[in-house]
Amino acid sequence: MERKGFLTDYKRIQVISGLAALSGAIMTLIILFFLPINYIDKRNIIIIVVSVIIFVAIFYTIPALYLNKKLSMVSDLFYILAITLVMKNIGDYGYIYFTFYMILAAVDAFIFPAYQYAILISAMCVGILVANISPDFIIQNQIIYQIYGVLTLSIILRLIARDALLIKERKEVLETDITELENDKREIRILLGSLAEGMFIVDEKNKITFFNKSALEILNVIAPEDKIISRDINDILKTVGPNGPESVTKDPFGKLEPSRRNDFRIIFPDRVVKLHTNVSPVIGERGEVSGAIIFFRDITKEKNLEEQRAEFNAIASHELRSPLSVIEGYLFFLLDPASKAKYDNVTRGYIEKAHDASRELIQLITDVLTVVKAENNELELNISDVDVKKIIEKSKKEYEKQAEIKKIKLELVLAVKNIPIIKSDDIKIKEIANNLIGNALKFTEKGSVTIEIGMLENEIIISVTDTGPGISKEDQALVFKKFFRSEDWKTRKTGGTGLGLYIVKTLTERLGGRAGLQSVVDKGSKFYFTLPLELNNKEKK
Amino acid sequence: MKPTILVVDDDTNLTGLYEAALSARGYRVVVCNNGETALDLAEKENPDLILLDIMMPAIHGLHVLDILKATPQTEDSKVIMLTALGDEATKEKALATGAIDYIVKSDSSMADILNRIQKALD
Repeated sequence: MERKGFLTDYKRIQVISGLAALSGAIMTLIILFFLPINYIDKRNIIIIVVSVIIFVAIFYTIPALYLNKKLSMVSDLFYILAITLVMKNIGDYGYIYFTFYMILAAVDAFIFPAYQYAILISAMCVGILVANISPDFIIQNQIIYQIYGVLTLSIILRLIARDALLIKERKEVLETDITELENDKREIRILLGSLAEGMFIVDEKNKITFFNKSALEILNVIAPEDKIISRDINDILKTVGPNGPESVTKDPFGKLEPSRRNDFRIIFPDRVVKLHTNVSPVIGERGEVSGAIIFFRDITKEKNLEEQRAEFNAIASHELRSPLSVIEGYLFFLLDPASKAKYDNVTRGYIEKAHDASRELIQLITDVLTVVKAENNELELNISDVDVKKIIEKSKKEYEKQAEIKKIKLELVLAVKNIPIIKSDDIKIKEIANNLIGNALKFTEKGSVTIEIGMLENEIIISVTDTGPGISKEDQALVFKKFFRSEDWKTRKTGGTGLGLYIVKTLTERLGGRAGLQSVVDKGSKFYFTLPLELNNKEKK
Repeated sequence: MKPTILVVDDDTNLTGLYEAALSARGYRVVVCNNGETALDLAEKENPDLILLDIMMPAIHGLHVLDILKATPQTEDSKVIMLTALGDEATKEKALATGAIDYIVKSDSSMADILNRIQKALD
């Protein structure tokens, strides 16, 4: 792998190894100079030194400094070629050296350094063989052999120096890599440790291979790292589900689910911690599941708040509704002929007003609770076989008296003869119908309110048409929004919370239907909602 | 003979109301304000109908219902749950235990409640 800055490093190595070759040559000469060997003509030493310096300078150091890697390799070839040309003077055997050195040069330039030594040693052996074959020749050509020997040694020294440097360089690079990797690993640990979420990674046998600091903090585990690693996750994370202990990683390895979220409890002697867990399979390069990664966080506080809120809702509904229903009941009883109470018309009117107001207040509380439930996704459905026609008839009946007082014609029209029985929630349908009929009567001063039940392709459609003031185009887009009340409506001093149509829409959608309207100002409005003949899975819940 | 209705609710205002409204309509009304007395009265008076609240101190209404349905003398008496609890789970539980109707006080007007009581006794 070519590393950045390698050329620069290579040059440095060439120069240093060149110097090594030079000093090696000089040392060899010094040894030769001081050895009491007769056949070395000490006068030749100067010539040898100068030739080595020239060789090294021309073929190593200068090319290494000024040429790139490939060219300096070529110069190596020339160096060896030059030696060989000198050798050629030895006689016919010189060609053998030429061949060996050419191979050496090729290996030196392109193949593994280890082979260089083998070939070099072979070359020297051949040299010695040559020497043995004709000792006279050696004596006659002393100086050439001396130059050859010194140069050969210098090449060996150079190669050794170069390779030692390369090895050292590589080791440093590797060490840097390892340090970087370790730093990265430490950094990842620190990052994961800083997560508020606890984290475990387990292998396919549920043994822990990694965890973070938060994991131990949340679980209140005090143990050194090696006491956690390779333990079974279920010994550390003792999750308890609704039906007793339950493994957090329960079979994550069979199926390739993207992730699985769950709420669990951890039971300590003095307290209970609630956890939200998210388990994802760890998927290897070949798509195999090699373990699981588990994130979890302490949701005790949130859960407790949620429970408190639910409790408050229950209390609010109970404590507010109970006295109100008593008020409504007594007021009703005062007006009930059975009570035999007698009033003049004015008093009766007052009581009637109080009774109406109490019913409105009850409706308001019911509406608010419905909205709260809807927004917390707590609207439960009670699905059964439902006769829509019957429900609408019942709802209509409740408003007949009000229509009579206002002198508005309230009628029910069946667009088709048979309305099928569907699976739905009767109470919710009645709430929707009541809201629409109640609204229509409230805003209509004269004329009629017509309820119609019809069929569409896959739906039952229930519409309520009035001859009221109608709704402007701008307002039509807003009527189903929470707390919406038009300016017109306010000036007309009609009561209401602005929740009715929002509830209509929310409940209809919960039942898998649609709610909408058509309206022309001063002509009237037609509100409708639909109920699907078949419930989707989403609604069945 | 006048049908007897036992009204059980810890809210005395409410029991007072039902006593007045139901008596005026010609029923014999017995009221009490806790589950324990309710169980005694249910055995003693043998009422035709019991209006039973759920959220009561001491004995929970659903528990009262359980005992009523498990006791031979009272197992046949009709019970209508009359409560402020509107959740489906409680309703289902009550109906499964043997209540014939489940009325959420505030979801129904007094007129509606009286109709349903009458219907249960017909």
